[in-house]
Amino acid sequence: MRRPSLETVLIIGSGLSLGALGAALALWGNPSNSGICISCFMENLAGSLGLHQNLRMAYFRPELAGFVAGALLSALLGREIRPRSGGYPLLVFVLGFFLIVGSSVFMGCPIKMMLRLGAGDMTAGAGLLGLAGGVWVGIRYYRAGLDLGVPKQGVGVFQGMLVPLLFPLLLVLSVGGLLLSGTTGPAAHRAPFVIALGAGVVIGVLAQRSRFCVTGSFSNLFLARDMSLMRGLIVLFVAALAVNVSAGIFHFGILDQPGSHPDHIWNFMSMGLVGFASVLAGGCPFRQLVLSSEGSVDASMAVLGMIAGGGLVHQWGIASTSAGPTPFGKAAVLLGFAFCFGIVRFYRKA
Amino acid sequence: MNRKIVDRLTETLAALCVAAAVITLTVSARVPAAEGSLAGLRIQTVSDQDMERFQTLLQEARRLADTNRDPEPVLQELKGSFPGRHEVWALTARYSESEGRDGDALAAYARAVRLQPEYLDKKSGLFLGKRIKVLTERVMGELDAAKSSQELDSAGKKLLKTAYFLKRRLAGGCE
Repeated sequence: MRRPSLETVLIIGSGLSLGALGAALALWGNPSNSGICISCFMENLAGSLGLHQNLRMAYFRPELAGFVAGALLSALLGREIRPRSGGYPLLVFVLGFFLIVGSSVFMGCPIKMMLRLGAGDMTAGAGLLGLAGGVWVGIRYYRAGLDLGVPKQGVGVFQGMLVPLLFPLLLVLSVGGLLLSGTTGPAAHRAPFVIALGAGVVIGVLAQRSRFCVTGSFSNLFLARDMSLMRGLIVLFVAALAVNVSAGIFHFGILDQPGSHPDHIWNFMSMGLVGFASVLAGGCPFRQLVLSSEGSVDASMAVLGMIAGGGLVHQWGIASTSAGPTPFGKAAVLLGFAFCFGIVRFYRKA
Repeated sequence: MNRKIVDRLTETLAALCVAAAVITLTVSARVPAAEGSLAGLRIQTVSDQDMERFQTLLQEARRLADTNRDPEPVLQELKGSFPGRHEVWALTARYSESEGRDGDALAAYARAVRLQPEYLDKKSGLFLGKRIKVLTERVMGELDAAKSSQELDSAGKKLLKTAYFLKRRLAGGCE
């Protein structure tokens, strides 16, 4: 039997760690089906910084610092710190904002979507189709000449490392009690600090080494029939499923799932926006965090856009609840699509 | 595909998205909160002057309910003037439940929870989770029985949706 390549092992390791630890973190204290959710974590972070007034969603999750620290450590050891920028900082910032808009209307980022599927939540099925559809549309535009250029190196280590170093700083401030921290609601549902941080570091290291990305899995498949990243995504789902079944919390259904709503059209549309925006921004919300740790200024701008989005989706009533998407959420998703279509209209070359 | 066709198609899609967003917001602005869906409910901010009237009416409704007198007229006034205040719906739910009107109680609890999620939070002083859970299970049992014997009318279907909303909220999650 042929030995799997190191790349395959790393991709499978990433999927395994995201799926297993993602499901386990919910068992250890994080909100149900939200062991790992970059958009929820960004909303929590925005709340902890006072960017929205919903104290129930205000807590700096140590997992976030772990992801960034793990990826930064891995990039340092692998000599892969490459400060670079593509030259469209404002576009990427707004794309980061819309990544959170789409995720908050769906009620979860692409990783949480897979964790929800692994917990038996079939409302995430519409989201999965939407995500694949959004990525497909983005890839079609790339094939039709969309060109956002190749990131250029030489933008300086200081600029490249600003956002990655922000997260450990926020962790220190959080431990020191200098950030807001809710005592009820999701903010009060926390995995133990050391476990959350440790899980984040492990996942961050593996994700940086493997270049794992949920939307990248679909992009590679549509663009080059490359299944390598898709294997990681399948392992993520299987690992989450295994943990949930073995813990006895697997619950198959549509209408009574935690942290979800059964509006399939808007589940499809919102994840479609996340897929489309991710292709334009160069990766899913989780991948943006990892890329920023390698010194990508574009990804750092996307992360800042995600933090801003995390605040505004609550302040403007964009985030969905179990009751369904709000009118503001629906309008924001539609405007997100308009923005993405605007980018492809103006940055398409012959 | 021809470049011009792709450009026109992209422009059309962008314009349609903007138009649909404007229509969505315009329509939602014209539906009063009392008639709107649970999803569209927003917490109502009340001026100091109105807050005084709100508190007076709420205390009166509570007093009537606690002394076994009919608080319905006061509750109707509260629901008409302050549909975005969770206290109104929580009190309506409690009164409806005591009167044996489980369906009305469930719908009112759903509104209260939508406006103030802490009713389902064990760490909150407002916690009514156990009571709401028992009521939800009871109503769902009745609705499921009606559904299986094909006797569920449109009001029953709407109530079933509301019950599922409460089940999702009771299940937890990040919201």
